[in-house]
Amino acid sequence: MAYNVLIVDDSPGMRKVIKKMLGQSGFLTEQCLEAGDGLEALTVLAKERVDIVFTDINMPNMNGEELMERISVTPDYQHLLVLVVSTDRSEERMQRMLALGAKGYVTKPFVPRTLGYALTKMTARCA
Amino acid sequence: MQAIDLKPLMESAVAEVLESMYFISSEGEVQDEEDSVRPDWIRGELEFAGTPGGTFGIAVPPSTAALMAANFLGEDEIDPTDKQTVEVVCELTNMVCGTLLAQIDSKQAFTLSTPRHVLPGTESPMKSGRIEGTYATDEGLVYTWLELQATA
Repeated sequence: MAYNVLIVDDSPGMRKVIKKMLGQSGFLTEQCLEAGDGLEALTVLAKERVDIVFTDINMPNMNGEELMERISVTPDYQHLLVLVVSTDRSEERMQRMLALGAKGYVTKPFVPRTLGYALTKMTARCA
Repeated sequence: MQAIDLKPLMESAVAEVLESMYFISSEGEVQDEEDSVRPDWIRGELEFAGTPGGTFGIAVPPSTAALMAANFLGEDEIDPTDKQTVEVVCELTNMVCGTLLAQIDSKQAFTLSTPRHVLPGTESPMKSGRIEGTYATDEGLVYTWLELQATA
């Protein structure tokens, strides 16, 4: 199955790297959309069919935690699989994001196989 | 928080990020005067809130920054633009700081500001107690520094 993916990160370079690593990990994507912060992500989600969201946490305008809160209370978004990709590797933040409904958490820096493994685990668990 | 020797943590955070995301090997700290930061180096800086809060920054020579950007962005970016190069240095600042803070306190969620590009001549004055290091890599030098806020 090929997935529609939304990558949310304020760094265009990091969005590009995640996209590239997705390809290298062998994960099949039908469409790869991008957003620079949580607000932009909500705009994309309102218009496009998305299966998986990769989100950073520290972003301007609306951070990843606020985005996760919005996703968690929106009935139309309950099918979304959210994978957090962040420099923040604290237990406190991970627990908070998972409690809000994130299905996986990858810390930066990472290598392609880490991302691929987290994705495979997340999609298998939620299938 | 217990007193921690931050210098080795900073060195290992730099090495971890450079190796995994930029494919660059760190060869340890250098201390020669000629290796000190120059005005044309590209600088990224951010603030972090937590216990303790503080400021973290990185500076790299333009040639090193361009190579880092090319490595980070991939084979189709052999000649990255100045904008891409600055963004990559800012992302490096973000990742090294996050890695370092996790080593200082793995339980606490620090809040990091968006990294900003510091233009030459607009650097904040150096505060006392700055922890700093210049590291040799196979692509050039990397300077990092950390200033912690005094805690009550």
